[in-house]
Amino acid sequence: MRVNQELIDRDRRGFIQSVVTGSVGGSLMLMIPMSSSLGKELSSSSSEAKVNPINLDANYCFMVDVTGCIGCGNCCVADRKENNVPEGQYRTWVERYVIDIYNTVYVDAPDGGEKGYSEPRTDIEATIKEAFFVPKLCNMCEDPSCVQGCPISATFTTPDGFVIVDSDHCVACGYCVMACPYGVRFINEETKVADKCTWCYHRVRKGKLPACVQACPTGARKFGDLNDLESEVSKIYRSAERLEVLKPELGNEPTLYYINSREEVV
Amino acid sequence: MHWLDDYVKRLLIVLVVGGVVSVVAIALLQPSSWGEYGNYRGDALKDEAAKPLVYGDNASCVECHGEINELARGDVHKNISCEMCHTPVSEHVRDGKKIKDALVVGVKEQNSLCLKCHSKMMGRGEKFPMVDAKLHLEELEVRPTSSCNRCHTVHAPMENINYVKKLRELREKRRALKEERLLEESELRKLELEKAKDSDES
Ligand code: HEC
Ligand code: HEC
Ligand code: HEC
Ligand code: HEC
Repeated sequence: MRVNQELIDRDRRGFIQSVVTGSVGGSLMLMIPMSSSLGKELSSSSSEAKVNPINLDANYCFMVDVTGCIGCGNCCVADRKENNVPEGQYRTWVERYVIDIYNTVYVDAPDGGEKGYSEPRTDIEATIKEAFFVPKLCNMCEDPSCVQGCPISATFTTPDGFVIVDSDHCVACGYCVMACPYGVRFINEETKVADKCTWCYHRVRKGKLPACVQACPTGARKFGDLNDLESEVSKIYRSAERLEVLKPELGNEPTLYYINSREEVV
Repeated sequence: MHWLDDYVKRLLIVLVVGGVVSVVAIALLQPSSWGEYGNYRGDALKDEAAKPLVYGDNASCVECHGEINELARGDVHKNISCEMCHTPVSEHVRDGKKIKDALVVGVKEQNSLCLKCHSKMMGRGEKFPMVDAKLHLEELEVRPTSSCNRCHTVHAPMENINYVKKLRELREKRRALKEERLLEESELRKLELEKAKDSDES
């Protein structure tokens, strides 16, 4: 994620502007008698979490610890509610990998793993050697093919490095859905435009963790700023832990890292 | 041949009119915030950032349920999200007031709630505490329909159990001490008896 002086300047200008208008607004309020309904509106908006300015100093990354995931499905439940994802569609899901003694790999994700994996797989005849769960979500590539594929710039990388969709501008041509090598994009059945995991951009800008990270009981999902040397992700990043990305050969440069991953994971 | 032939003029007119039309079209049709941050609609970024929160975090419950929060912080479930077992904070509280009851899982469904995370199965790391519910309850000699909540309180599952364990340890220690003392006393008495015998003989 590159830091662009021009962008910093522009952001600063925006900030000063909002300070000025805010203070002007404030002093006007003192002089004009306020109706009670206006007062209520103000108090309700102040109790909601504030949107922070774009943090251009941050280098956000997401880490998934494959051995930490217990397949409970809490992340998928939280994600659906937080982002209003229609039933049957998934911004994030959890895959179950099962390997038998002949090293055949079986992968499934009934209901996207949302209901948890309380039932073992019964359709495999050979003895099962091992199993593990792999949460999947947007890889937030530094060189995203979905953005390149969009003909009208309705999907883009924000200055702080998140790939998001402009749902008012999108014409649902579906090119990005085809361009994404990780299959995280879909055409939302309700809004009828492209939709994807945003690492809960709206939560991050309000100083909160993504909903799935917040919901994960074991800390298998981690989110943070690599430039913050105190953050868990930056400590892991600088440790001897082996980090892997999915499909590195495609050159998309994901910023979603897998810890303790396996060669079977694609 | 004159350089301003009709066909050249026509071409020039077409170019000029086309240019003006496209400039006007861009001015009228392009969203005003286009290019604010990059080659996209700047307002889209602001809209995305302004989307309302559904979930808060565990800190959002502290204000009104401080005692439960404190109970949970001190035990094994300290990292589990309150909202995942109950209700997202935005559906329960608004403007500092309760607007709707939070979901409380009844006693009958509690076991399946716990077992969603704790049932023993392949794929869960060995470090994670898992139980086979049937075996667990059999070993403890309780009815197979017993609620987990009977022994493990939901918010602090090991608190009671650790307490009972500690009590047991203390009791054992006391018993051991008592036995030691008894032993010492009996040995003392033996010594005294021997002494008395010695003095008798002499
Ligand atoms: C493992 C799931 C789980 C988690 C995590 C959890 N709770 Fe609970 N909570 C329950 C269950 C189950 C009950 C019902 C207990 C009962 O029946 O005795 C309950 C009951 C409650 C009650 C109602 C008590 C009553 O008697 O009316 C409150 C308030 C509450 N929880 C708050 C919290 C808060 C705050 C947190 C986070 C610190 C939290 N819970 C975390 C499962 C959970
Ligand atoms: C603004 C204060 C407030 C906040 C914040 C709050 N609650 Fe409550 N909650 C209440 C009140 C008031 C009750 C009713 C208590 C009673 O009846 O004794 C309640 C009751 C509950 C109950 C029992 C069921 C019910 O609705 O009567 C649960 C469970 C619960 N809250 C969970 C939570 C969780 C989880 C959070 C954090 C996400 C939370 N609450 C945050 C005020 C709050
Ligand atoms: C969302 C997943 C989740 C749910 C639901 C859940 N737990 Fe837990 N539980 C955990 C995690 C995570 C730990 C901590 C594991 C660790 O320390 O590594 C834990 C720890 C425990 C432990 C301590 C085990 C030990 O030896 O350290 C007990 C006992 C326990 N839970 C019982 C329960 C009961 C009873 C319920 C149902 C009310 C329940 N859990 C529901 C995730 C969950
Ligand atoms: C009769 C009381 C009782 C009931 C009911 C009960 N447990 Fe336990 N559980 C215990 C005790 C005691 C221990 C501690 C065992 C030990 O440390 O040796 C324990 C330990 C555990 C552990 C930790 C195991 C480990 O390997 O560290 C988990 C997880 C657990 N229980 C989950 C549950 C769940 C889920 C239920 C409901 C299906 C449940 N328990 C019902 C008494 C109970």
